[in-house]
Amino acid sequence: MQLYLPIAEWPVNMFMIFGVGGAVGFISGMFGVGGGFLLTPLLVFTGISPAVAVGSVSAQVAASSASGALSYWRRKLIDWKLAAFLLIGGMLGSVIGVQVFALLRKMGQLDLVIGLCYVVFLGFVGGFMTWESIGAILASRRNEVPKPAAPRQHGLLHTLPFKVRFPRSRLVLSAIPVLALGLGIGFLGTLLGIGGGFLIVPAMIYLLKVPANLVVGTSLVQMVVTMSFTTFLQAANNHTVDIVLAFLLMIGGVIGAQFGAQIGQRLKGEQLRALLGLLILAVGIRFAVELVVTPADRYSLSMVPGAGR
Amino acid sequence: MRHRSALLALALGTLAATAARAETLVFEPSQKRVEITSNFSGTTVTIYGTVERDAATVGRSGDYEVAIMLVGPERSVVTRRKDRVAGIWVNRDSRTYQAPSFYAVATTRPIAEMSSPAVLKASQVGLDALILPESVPGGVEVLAGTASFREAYLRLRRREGLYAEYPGAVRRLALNLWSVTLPIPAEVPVGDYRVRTVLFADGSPLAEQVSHFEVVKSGFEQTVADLAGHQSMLYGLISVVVSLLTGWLGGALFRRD
Repeated sequence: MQLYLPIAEWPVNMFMIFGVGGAVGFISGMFGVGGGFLLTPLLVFTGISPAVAVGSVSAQVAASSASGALSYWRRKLIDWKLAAFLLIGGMLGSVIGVQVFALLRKMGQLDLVIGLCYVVFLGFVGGFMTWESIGAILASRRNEVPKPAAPRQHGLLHTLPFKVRFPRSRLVLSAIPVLALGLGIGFLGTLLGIGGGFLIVPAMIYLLKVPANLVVGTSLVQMVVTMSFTTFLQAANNHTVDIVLAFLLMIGGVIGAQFGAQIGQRLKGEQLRALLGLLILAVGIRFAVELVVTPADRYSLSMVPGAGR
Repeated sequence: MRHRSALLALALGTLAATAARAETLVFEPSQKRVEITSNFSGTTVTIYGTVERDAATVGRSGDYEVAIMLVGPERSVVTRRKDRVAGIWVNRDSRTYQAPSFYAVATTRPIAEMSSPAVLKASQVGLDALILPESVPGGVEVLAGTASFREAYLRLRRREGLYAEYPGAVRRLALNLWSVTLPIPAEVPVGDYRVRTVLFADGSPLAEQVSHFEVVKSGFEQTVADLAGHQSMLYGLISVVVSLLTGWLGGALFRRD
């Protein structure tokens, strides 16, 4: 069934968008990630302009992280104070991100920057996750107990000023790295149309040493607020949020996530991480190939934003 | 009196066919409004027309040939070319065209056989004749366009289905009645469209007429687009509320714990 998207000004097959949302929702439910990094490229592949894809996916990420955050809230697995610090940074990053987004779009370099960022971040995170989890799988085959990482209490991060106490996480951290992390994720999330879960979760575990049971819930709260804010800014500044598109994705995503979560519960943690790592790596490689391989057509057209309307 | 004016028309007609203006075109689209609704997947527009000849009209030896153009609202479009920089493909050079967002031309015969390239250019018939004001990065307009960019622009527009030529598609239904049915793709831009008809005889343009129709979003699509365009803050807030509500509902419906 064809459906005309009012902002994208593009007809799409409703069931295909539904299916894309569902498939990405399945993966996000299985691995506990937002899936924005898969959704944005898939939408672009269906012919929707990258700008509208990025804007609309931020609305979808806000929705999917809201339902995730809700479940962690009920289980009281959220450090609200830490989330507040992260999202202050995140909103600031989002404001900067929207401006940079508009500028890059005008310069015609938005696709390039999105592509390069995907290659760098997905390649790095995917590679690391795959490497780490394959190591863990091999170790468990040999019946070794994985050594817990030595706690580095006197790292560089602990020498920074503006110490803040986070009682729920039992941490005393400088506000600087927390705000900076929020800012970085907010900026990248806005620019790339991703929630940034696959970036913030490892950063919170390895850099801030937040207890593992609080990491996901807290990062989800940060994502809900930052992505809602981003959606608002993208709609108000860049007119790139197609709510019809986003709504279809949300519905597909919510349903897909239920099935994904059931499969996810049957797999071991390191197996899940290895699969997710490979998936992230594959998307990164696909972007790298696109940047390097000679394009089928060297020329491309784009509308001048805000002109001629 | 009538006899004299007919003689005068004959004299003028042989001197300069266009100046005589003895033929009047009456070509109209079948609908004045194409509405884009949520299940819009393209449509067709039929244009009917006739040539009115008054008593002064010279009897032509050759047949009439008709060219009908659907010309969409003008938009600024950037055409970019990728070049290899340090191993990766990057958009480098570009040209901005102020050009119709939609252009379809249908004729009674292959366009090249209608008239000479110079005449086609002067009467703006066909994609090859289309005047495309071009500016280089920095906003400087160039008079002599860059052939490679122009060619790429037209090629990409044709591939999108927004530019098209339909040679021979205008059918002569009766001695003095023509019609053509042209497809309007689903990706059609909204705005005011001109229907331009040019009448040729023996390779010379005799008369020209412009009619109009509009392509509009209607119903829900229009409400959403208007809100997003004119009250973007409110639209942004609604988008956020819809997202959070859907997320909350999803979480509440499929409660797993």
